[in-house]
Amino acid sequence: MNSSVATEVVRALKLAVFRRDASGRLRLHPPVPDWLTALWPAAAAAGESAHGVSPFLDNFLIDAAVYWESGSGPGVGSGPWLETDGRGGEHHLQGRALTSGRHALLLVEELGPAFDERRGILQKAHEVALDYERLQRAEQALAEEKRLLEQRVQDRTAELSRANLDLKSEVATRQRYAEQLRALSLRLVEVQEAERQFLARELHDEIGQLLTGLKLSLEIFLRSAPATGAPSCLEVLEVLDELMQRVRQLSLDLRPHLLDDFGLVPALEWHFKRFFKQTGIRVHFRHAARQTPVSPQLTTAIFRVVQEALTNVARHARVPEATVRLWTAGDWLGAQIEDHGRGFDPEAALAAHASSGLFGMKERAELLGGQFTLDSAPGSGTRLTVEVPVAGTLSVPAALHTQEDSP
Amino acid sequence: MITIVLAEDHHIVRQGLRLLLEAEPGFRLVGEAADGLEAVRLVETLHPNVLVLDLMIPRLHGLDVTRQVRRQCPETHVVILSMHADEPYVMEALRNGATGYVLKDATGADLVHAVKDAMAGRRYLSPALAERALSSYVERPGESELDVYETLTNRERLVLQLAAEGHSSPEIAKQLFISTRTVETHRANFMRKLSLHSQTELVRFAIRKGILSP
Repeated sequence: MNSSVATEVVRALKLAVFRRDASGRLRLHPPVPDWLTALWPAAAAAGESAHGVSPFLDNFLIDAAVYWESGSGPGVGSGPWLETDGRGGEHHLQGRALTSGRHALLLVEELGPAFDERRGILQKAHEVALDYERLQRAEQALAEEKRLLEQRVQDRTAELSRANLDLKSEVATRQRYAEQLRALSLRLVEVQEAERQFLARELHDEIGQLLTGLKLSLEIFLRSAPATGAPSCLEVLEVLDELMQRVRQLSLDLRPHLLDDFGLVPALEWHFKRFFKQTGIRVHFRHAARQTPVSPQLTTAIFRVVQEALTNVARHARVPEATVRLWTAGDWLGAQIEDHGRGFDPEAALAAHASSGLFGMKERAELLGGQFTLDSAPGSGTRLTVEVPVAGTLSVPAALHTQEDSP
Repeated sequence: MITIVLAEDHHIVRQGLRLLLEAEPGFRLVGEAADGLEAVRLVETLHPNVLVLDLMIPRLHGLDVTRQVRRQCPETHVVILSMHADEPYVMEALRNGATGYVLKDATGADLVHAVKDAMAGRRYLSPALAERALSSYVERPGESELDVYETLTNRERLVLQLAAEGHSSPEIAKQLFISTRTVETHRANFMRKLSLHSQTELVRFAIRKGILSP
């Protein structure tokens, strides 16, 4: 290698090269790099030894001397260190002890901007590592928080599902009660109706017949009675007639026998006539010609609703007439009572259970799986519609039965 | 001489009737029955001129007894005794072949009249009934056919109109502030009542009713 070329390379690398002489002194070998001149001007000018200019370098030279004495191996390095020059400039330096042929050499290199950059990167990496650690800690904290939250959610969910179960069983219990109540209500209505029917029959057939027998006997007695007893006997007959009249009225009030013997339409027609006599309100009856036989339970319910609704008309509507409609549509039986009277607020009327029979009518319809609709407003009349499904076994009234048999 | 069979289940009433009929000159009571089947049997064997029959007799209804007697022994006339003054009972008795209808709370003279008239082939109704029949004929309001549209409730009428105008159920629901299901229920109800089966029929009905203009 050409010596000047070697010199150029050394200069370009900003290397300070020291050669160790026989006495162990380290002499600076030109060229002298600028940084050395800036850092150690005296040493640079004198081409003096590297000893005694830097405590760090001195420390390294102890290791380097051991290496040079042993004279084997690829050399030792110092690791980078920092020196500050008289003007405050910073120099990152790195030393290396090596041998070249017979020569023991010390190279000191300024690491320069590349090192700064690397250091910056390392610094950054360190910071990132620190950040990463923080991040990991934060993540762990977050995971812990999340775990706690999930635990709480689980606890709360368990609590809620327990509450939900309780609620469900509560609802089931209430539904059972409601069903029992419904069944009881229906039973009550049936029992009441059966009782009325029994009493009506008892009054009409048994007591009525006894009175009839009594009357006949009195009449026969009267024919052969002495004239003196006749006036008081006639009085008894009058009382008897009155009594028979009362018994029959009472029986009819309880339950019209037409309902059982001929069904809904004749019973309603009879009721409308009686209603007219009692109240002066004429009822226009419109019904579909075809009559489907329906169960006595249903017949009774519809009859009672019409009866109750007309009673309301007489009490509140202040009208001379009303219309009742009766029809079957598919498997449904419907009845409607309409008047063009005063009308009222349906919501309020339905809320006041006791005062009107409206609530009872609604309940009666609903017990039979039917619908109850009340259309009314103050000043615009009232239309009450009840529709019930014609379900279950049908029983034909006795009289209707014979009617069908006749030619 | 008029021969009579008496059918009445109430002992006391039967006793009274027996005394009444036996006291009448020209009447002869030939048999007594306490139920419907016995009454038919007695008439078949005794062939009386008149059967005095309680309408509500047990085992065979008075109406059935009347029909059977008229079919098997046409020469026997039936006079019904009844607690019921209502028209359907009277009409049914006469339709089944009874000649007379006497109320149980009428006087004994009534029954004697009825038996004599029946013997002569004349119809007889207790005076109270005859009056009632006339007045009910007069009183009977001009019965007119049921207009099914009138049986619709307010809601059903509203839904019908909107549906006929071509609105869908969800649209109607939104307009009336009710659920679509409720609209469907109303719709099903009025379609059933009016025997309508399609939108076309509904529109045709609405036009006929003047709800929609054609």
